[in-house]
Amino acid sequence: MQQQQNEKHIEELERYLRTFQPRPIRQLGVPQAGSRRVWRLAAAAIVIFAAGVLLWYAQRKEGRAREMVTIQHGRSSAGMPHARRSIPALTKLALDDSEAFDAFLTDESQSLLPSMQSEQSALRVLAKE
Amino acid sequence: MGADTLKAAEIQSLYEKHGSALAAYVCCRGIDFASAEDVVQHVFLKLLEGNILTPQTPVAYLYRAVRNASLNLRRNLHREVEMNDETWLVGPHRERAEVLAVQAALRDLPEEQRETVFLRVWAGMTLQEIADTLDIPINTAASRYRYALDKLRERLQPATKL
Repeated sequence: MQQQQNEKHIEELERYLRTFQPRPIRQLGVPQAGSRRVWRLAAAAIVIFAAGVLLWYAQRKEGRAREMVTIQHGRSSAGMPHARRSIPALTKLALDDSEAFDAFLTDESQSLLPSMQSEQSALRVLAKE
Repeated sequence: MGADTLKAAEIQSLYEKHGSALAAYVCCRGIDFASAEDVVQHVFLKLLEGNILTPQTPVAYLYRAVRNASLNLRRNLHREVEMNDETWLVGPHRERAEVLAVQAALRDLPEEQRETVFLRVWAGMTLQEIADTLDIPINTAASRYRYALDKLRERLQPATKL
């Protein structure tokens, strides 16, 4: 009698539990929201990388432009300090505009070598002798 | 089912029939629903790759496979996943609170009893099939199931008038 009652209780409980069903699962092969998050992260990483490349490219371009300005400046005012001109810039100037390069060299020599403009300058005295 | 690999259509059919119960089984072992879905998908995608020979009892094989995968996942997480307020059961005419109460009652069972109840009630296995799936003697499966139901009845009685 007791056992029958127990069996009945068990059946009732099983029936009750079966009124609940497992939550439906997504379709086979469909990526889950978590995977989409990974894709978003990957996209963000690509954007950051692209931005980095652009920044590097822009800085490089700016550097070249500055170099060009230096060369142009070298043509117009050769009296600038020597340290501000790079060897590639001078090479380019020599190849592109030999007159400007000569002018630059003349100016440089005047600023670096002792002046012979003054009448009492040592070089002028020595030259006379 | 033949001796070679399962066909894609058969695998799809198994997924449609047992996928949800398998995911709920993983959840009942303490894994969140999204990860449980991933575990089930992974097992089925491996089957679709065709590297696994057709098991004698595909359903029992699937439950064993997702059980092992969930054990690995838990090991990799290095922690026991807390079963939270996420539902992995649904009741068409039941309120969320009642669903959560049933889940909580299941959660309070020892894991070996909990999975016995799940396999009997939601996977529709016989005690012999449960014993084969969990690799335990049938008497052990029967006693675990009986103890689990006694506890569940005690726990759910006030709410359900069982």
